[in-house]
Amino acid sequence: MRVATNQFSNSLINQLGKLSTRQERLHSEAASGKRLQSVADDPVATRRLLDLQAESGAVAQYQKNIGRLQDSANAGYSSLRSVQKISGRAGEIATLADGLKTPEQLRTYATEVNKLIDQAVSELNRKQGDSYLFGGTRTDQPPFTVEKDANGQITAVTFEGNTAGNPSEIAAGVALTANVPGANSSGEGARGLVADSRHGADFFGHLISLRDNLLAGNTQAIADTSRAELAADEDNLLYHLGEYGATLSQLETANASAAHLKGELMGETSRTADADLAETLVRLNETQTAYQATLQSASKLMNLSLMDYLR
Amino acid sequence: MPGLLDSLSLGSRAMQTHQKGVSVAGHNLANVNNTAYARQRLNVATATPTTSAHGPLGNGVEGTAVTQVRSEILDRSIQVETSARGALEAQQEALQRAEAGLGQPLDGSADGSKGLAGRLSELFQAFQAAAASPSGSAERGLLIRQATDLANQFREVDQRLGVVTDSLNESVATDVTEANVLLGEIARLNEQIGRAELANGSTANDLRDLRQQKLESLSRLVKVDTATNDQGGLEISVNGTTLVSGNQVTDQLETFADADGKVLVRTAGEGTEISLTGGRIRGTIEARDGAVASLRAQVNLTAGRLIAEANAIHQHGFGLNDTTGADLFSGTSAADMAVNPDLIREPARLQLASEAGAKGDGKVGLQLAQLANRSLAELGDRTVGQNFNQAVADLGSAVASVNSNLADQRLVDGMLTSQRQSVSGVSLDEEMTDLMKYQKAYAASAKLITTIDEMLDNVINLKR
Repeated sequence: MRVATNQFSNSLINQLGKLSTRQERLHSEAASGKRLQSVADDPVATRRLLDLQAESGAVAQYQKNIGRLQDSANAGYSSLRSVQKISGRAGEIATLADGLKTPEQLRTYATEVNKLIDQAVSELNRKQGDSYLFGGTRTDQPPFTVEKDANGQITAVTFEGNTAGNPSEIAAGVALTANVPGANSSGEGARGLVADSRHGADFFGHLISLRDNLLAGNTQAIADTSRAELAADEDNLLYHLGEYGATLSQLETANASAAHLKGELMGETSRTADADLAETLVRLNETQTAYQATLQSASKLMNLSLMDYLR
Repeated sequence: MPGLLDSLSLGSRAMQTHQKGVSVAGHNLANVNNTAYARQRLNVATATPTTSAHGPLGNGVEGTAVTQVRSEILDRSIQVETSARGALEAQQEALQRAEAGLGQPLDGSADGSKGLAGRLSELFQAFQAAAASPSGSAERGLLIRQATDLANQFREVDQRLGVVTDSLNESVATDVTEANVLLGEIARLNEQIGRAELANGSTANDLRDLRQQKLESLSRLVKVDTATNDQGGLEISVNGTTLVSGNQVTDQLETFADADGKVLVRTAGEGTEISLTGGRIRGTIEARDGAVASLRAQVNLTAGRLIAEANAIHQHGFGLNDTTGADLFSGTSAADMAVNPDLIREPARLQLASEAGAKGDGKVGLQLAQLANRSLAELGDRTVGQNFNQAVADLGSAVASVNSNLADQRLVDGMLTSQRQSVSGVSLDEEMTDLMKYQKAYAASAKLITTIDEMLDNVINLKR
């Protein structure tokens, strides 16, 4: 084939251009560690990568939600344990207040029950951050308010919250509420923590009744009614302790699952987008060698000319 | 039998012929780097012999013509492939600009850039955080910031894609202007070639080179059909409409805007829209109305659905101050998307609760967060995020397809150009050899004249 003078230089420019482009591409891959430099490199992998990044972000948020729910559930569980101790002591007093006790002794028990009520109200009005734990979704005000008579005796403890929960997602489509409402007298919805009409639980009402019976020296009513009422309250609290345990366990499982999923997503993201550095560097080396060889052969060939041999 | 003076003429003619050969070689050498140039050759033939009693006596050599070495088949093939390459190059430029306008990083925001995909994802995370802590001012503030950033990014992307579309329209107009200039130049060259060839009776090689170059430049812009008339003039037509006939530009191209404001091309004379089949102008229009328009439409559709769905949910919620009925976003598409300014001023008005007076209720916030995983019929049963990601992938497919086609086209172009260079390109070695060949022949012819001169001296001195 006949070769024109500029054919050689044009071919050289093309070859050097191709090799430079390839070097630049491999250098970018090696420097960033990423195989995908542009959406055109692999459109299918690009779509997958963007979906994976969104999924990873969502999983990270689920983990934050789980952490928050765990904090909230732990705080609720801690308050519940305290209330359970108060319930236990009230049950003891109801057992101790039999017909053998003097009125003075019964009044002393009544005073203690009054303090137990205060203590329980204080526990159940506990806040986490700016939010009250047991007010349902009315988290900006204490869920339980106390009414006292002129003598400082508690006459009623009223639940000011609602029975709604505020669920958070712990996985796609799986939402969970950490805490329960303090009381529920509506007959439907979440079971109240210390009062629920469906299960005969009315902790504060029953404590006030016990105290009034103690003040009145009505040990028969204590034996016939108060003990059974307090036992129902205790059962309700035990139910919620079990529920908190189950919730914390579910959150722990969800957290482990999210961590596992996050690891899998990171692996898949890496497999989708990351460059095989060993292969990239070998290819870069090959390209550099080819570039050098092209320059070297070109410099030799371009120095040859018939004019060097003509006089 | 020819006399000595006739032999002198023979030598002189030979010298002139060889001098022409040197001149042609010099012309070739001078144009070695001229890409439009096709090497030329001096055609020589034996001069007409003189009849004598001894038979025809040779009169030496004479140059018959200077011809250019060209392959019409290769020229025509290159002209066609130039149009195909022009279309693909224009598409590649347009799509790469759209890709840049989209600004979607693929490195997982290693340098802090997130792109629309990252910002969409962050908005839904902010919904989750605010739903989990609906009375938290930090969570509300973060949600407003993420929503504002997303709306800003949607507007910026739409604006950038709009600029790309505008610049493609300008590119069509510029290319049409350039094509009209080239049509005029080709018509003028037709005239000059006709005049030169009529006057000299030979081929106007250099003018033809120039016309071929102009034709290829025109073909790069718009695919044209060509034919040569009896006078050697080039007839140029597009879609059956003749644009150049002989030395006349019979019609020109012009741009016009259709009902949608898209710049298209028609003939200036008849005003009929031209359906272009190749060249930069077609490539630009194809990219503008194809992948770039589709990308912009999908970005707007994604933003529009997000606005509509988020507002529908948000309107039913309640703010911390029990306000309700407000939109989260204003606007209907990416172009005018913005966060409700009332919410920016007072994030407590974000309506995250499902009932009034429940500051710890984030159920509406949760519904907004769950929008991330809701497939929408309007988006082809894709989620908002998936729809945008698919739009990015579709653009990637379009760019990859054009890149691949252009690489193939460049290969074809390269092979044809190399073949043409092989036929028409100047070789310094060849020309230097020719130069020596003609130089030696010139010297030999000069020696003949010297010899005849000595012989004439001998004849003149016979009388002494």
